Amino acid sequence: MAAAAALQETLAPAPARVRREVPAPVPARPRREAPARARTANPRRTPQRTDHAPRLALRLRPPRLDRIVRGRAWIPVLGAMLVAIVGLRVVVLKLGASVGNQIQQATLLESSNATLRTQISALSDNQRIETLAHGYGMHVPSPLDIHIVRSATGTHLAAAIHNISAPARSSFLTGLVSEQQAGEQTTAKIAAANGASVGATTSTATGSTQSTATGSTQGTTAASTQSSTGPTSTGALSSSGGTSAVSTAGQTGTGAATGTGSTGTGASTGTGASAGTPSTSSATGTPGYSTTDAGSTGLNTGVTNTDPATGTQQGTGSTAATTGGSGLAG
Amino acid sequence: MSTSAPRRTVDTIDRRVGLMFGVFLVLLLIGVLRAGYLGTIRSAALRQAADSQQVRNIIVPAVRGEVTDRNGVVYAISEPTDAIDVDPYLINKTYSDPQVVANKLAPLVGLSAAKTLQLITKQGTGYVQLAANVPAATDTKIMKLQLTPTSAPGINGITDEPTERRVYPRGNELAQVLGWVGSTGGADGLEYQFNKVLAGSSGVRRTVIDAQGKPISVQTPKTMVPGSNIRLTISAPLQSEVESVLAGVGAQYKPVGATAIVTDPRTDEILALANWPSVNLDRVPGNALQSVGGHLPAAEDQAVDLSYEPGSTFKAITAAGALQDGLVTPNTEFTVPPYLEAPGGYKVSDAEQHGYEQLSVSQILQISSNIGADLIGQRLQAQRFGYWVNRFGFGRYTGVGLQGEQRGIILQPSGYTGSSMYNLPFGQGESVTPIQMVQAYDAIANGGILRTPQIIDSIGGRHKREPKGKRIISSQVAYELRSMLRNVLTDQGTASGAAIPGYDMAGKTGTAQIADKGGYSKTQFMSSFIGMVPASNPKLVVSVVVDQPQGAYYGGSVAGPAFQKIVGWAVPHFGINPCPAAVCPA
Repeated sequence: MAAAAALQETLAPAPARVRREVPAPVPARPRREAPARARTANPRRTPQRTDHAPRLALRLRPPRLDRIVRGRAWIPVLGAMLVAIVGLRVVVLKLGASVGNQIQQATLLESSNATLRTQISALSDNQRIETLAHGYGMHVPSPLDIHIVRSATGTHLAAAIHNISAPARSSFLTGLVSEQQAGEQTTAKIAAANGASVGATTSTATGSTQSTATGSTQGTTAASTQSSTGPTSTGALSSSGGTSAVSTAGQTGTGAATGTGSTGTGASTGTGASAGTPSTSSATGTPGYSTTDAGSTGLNTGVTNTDPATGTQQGTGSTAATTGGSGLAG
Repeated sequence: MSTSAPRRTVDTIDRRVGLMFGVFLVLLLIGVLRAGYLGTIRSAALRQAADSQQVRNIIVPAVRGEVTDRNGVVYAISEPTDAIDVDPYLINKTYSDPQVVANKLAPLVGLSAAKTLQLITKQGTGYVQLAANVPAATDTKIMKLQLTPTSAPGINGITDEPTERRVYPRGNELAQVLGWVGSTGGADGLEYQFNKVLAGSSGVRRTVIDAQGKPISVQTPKTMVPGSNIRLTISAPLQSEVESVLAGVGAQYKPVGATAIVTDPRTDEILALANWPSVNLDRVPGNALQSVGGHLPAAEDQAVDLSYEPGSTFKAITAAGALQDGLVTPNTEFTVPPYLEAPGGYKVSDAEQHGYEQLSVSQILQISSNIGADLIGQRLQAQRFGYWVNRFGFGRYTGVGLQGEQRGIILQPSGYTGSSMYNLPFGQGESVTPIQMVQAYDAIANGGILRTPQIIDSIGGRHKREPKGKRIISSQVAYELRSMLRNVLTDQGTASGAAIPGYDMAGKTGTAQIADKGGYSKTQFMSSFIGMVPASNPKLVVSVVVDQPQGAYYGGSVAGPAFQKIVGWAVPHFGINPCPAAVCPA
C-alpha cells in the first residue's frame, strides 16, 4: 500500500512550477584597500599575494561551468559527433574498398607495363628491323661495299655542291608510293617464307624519281630485275642525266637499265657477281670523281655520278665505275 | 469508490511493467550468457571461421628485378600473373550444373570445356590448380565471371593466387650469360649468380572482404620488397648482330661450338658476348646442359668456361714480354730455320714450309711463324716468359663475375720440361679462356693496363665502380705491338681477308691443333681471331673463337670473316670513322 501510495503521489499532477526567485546578485565586496606598505629594503623580495583573486575566480566559475556542462547545446554537438563518427567509419570502409580496387588496378597496370616492355624489347631487335627494312628495299651495307671517296680540289667540290638540287615533290612522292608498294609485297613474301633469310626470289620493281642533275632534267624510269640467293627486295630509282638502275641482290645480281637524259642518252647493263664486275656504259666522258657501287649484297645503288669538271652529266658526262651486283649506269 | 478503478489500473500496469521488466531481464541474461559463451568457449573456432570467410592473407610474390642492356633494352623481366585454383568440393556443392561453370571458364584458362569440367569436378580433393601464369587482365575477367546476367560476380570455389612469370623477350640472345629461373629461383647464369639481388622478398597482404566478396579493408602486415634491377654493359643491337654472325658461322662450318666477345678496351666493358649453339630461354630444353649432336651444351658460356690452347694469338704475349724486357724491337731480325728440333724428337715447323729466312719480330707476327715465336721465347727465357704469362693474367680468374669461369691451365716455369719453351711461345701447351685472351688484348689496345672485364654496369641503380687496373706493359710497347698486329691484316698477313678497306685495324689469327690422346690432332683445330679497331686508338676489341670447324680451319678464313662482319657492323654503330693508313699512320 505504501508503494501504491507513493506511486499515486508520483502520478499526481505536479504542482505548477514556480519561477524560482533569482537571488539578487551579491554586491561585490568593496575592494579592501591595502594599506600602503613601506617598501622594504630588499628589492628581490616578491610582494605577498593577496587571497582575493582566487576567491573571485571560484565565485565566477561554477555557474558558467554549470551552464556549459548542463547546457542543451551538447545535444546537437553530440549528435553531430555521432554522425561524424559514423560517417568517418563509412568513409574508412569505402577507402578500404577502394584500396583493394586500386591494388588490383595497380597489379593490372604493372602486368600491362611488363608486357609492353617485353614487346618493346622484342620489337627493337635489329634482326627483325633489318628483315622489315629489306621489304622496303633497304639493306645494311656490307663492310666491303663501303668505299672511301677521294676528295677533289675546291673547284670540283663547288661544282658538286652546285649540282645538288631538291627533287620535285610530285615525282618523289609517286616514286615513294611505288617503292613502298613493292616493299610491302616483298615483306609479305618474306613473312610468307617465315622470315626466310635464305632463299631465292626474283622480283622486279619500277619507280621513278626526280633527277638531281643540272638542267632540271628528269630521270627516266628505271627497271631492274634481279635474281638473288639472299634475302631480296627491290627498289628503283632514276638517275640524273643518264639513267640508273637500282638492283639489289644477294650474292649475285644483274641489273639492266636504259634511259635518256635531257641531252644525253645512256644505256647500260651491269652484271655483278660476288666479287663484282664493273658495269659498262654507253655513255662517254671522263670519269668523275664520285663513284658508288653496289657490292656483293647489292647495296647503295641508284646514286648518280656527276662530273665535277663539267658540272653536268649531259651526254658527255661522267661514267660511273661500278662494281658488284647491280647494274648501275651513269 | 472512486479510487478503486484507478488502483486496479495501477495494479495491472504495475504487473505488466514488472512482467516486461522480468522478460527483458531474462532476455538480457540469456544474451549475456550467449555472448559469454560465444566470446569465451567458442571464441577461437568462431574467430577462425570468420577469418577464413572474411579475411584473405595473400602472399604477394616479390617482383623479380629486370636485367637490361646498357640502354635499358630488357633482356629479362617478370610479369605479374596469377594462378587460378579451384575447390571442387565447393563447385560440386554450389552448382547443380558444373558444365555451365566449365563453359564459362574454359576459354579464359585456355583449356577445353571437357578438360575444365574434369578438373573443377575432380573427386576427393579440395584443391586443383586450373591454370598457372594467367595474365592479370584475364585473371580479373575470371574473378568477375557471372554465370547468368543477374547472378553475382564471381564463381564460388574459384580463387586466384598472385604469381609471376619470367619472360626473356630477346629469345636466345645472351642466353648463356643470363641463365634462367627455375621453380626455386635462379637456375643458371646471372639469374643464379645474382638470385638474392634479383629476387627481393615477398610480402603479405591481408584483405577483409564483405559478404559479396568485395574488399573492405586492406592491410599490409609485411611489405613486398621488389628485386633490384641489373643493368649490363651489353649493347643489345651489337649483341644481336654478333649472335647473328655466330649463327652464320655455326651454319657454315658446323663447329662443336663458337664464341665471340666484343669489348671496349678503354673501360674493359663487355659490349657483346655470344655463344653458339644457343638456347631459347623462353623454352629451355631439358638437355640444355648436355652435349647434343656433338656440340657443346647450349647453355654453356664458352666465353668463360672454355679452356683451349690459344695457338698463334698467344704470340703477341710472347712478343710483348720480349719487347718490354728490351730484348727485341719490332725490327729485330731472327734467322728462322725450316724447323726446330726440340728435346725428345719433337719438331716445330711453320704452317708453310720454307728454308732459312730472315724475319723481323713484326714479320714473325705478320705471317705467324711458330719457329720465330720460339726464337723470341728462347731469347726471353723460361723464367721471364713465365713471368709475362702470369703478368697478363693467364692462369687466374679474370673476375668478370660470370658463372662457371675457368682459369685455364698454365705451367709455372718450375714445371717446364725441356720442350716447353718450344711450344709455349706460340700458344701450344697452355690453356686459356676466351675472356682471358680478350683481357690481355684489351691491355694491348688500351696502352698497357690490365683490367677486369666488366659486364655488370649497375645493380639497383648503383653504378658499379670501374676497376683501376694495373699497368703491365708500357704504352710504347703496346703501341709497337698494335703497329705490328696491323700487318696481320695486310695482303701479306694471315688475315688479309678480315680487313675492311678504309679502317685502321689490327689483330692476330690463331689456328691451334687440339690435344688428343697424348698428342695433337691433325684434323681438329681451334680457329680464332682477336682484333681491334681503330688500331691507332682502339675502341673495340673483338674476339671470335670457333671450336673444331668443318671444311676450313685457319683462323684467318673461319674466324677472320666473322670478325670482319662484326666490326663492319659495329664501326658505324659506334661512330668509329674510317681512317685509312695514309691518314692514321702506324
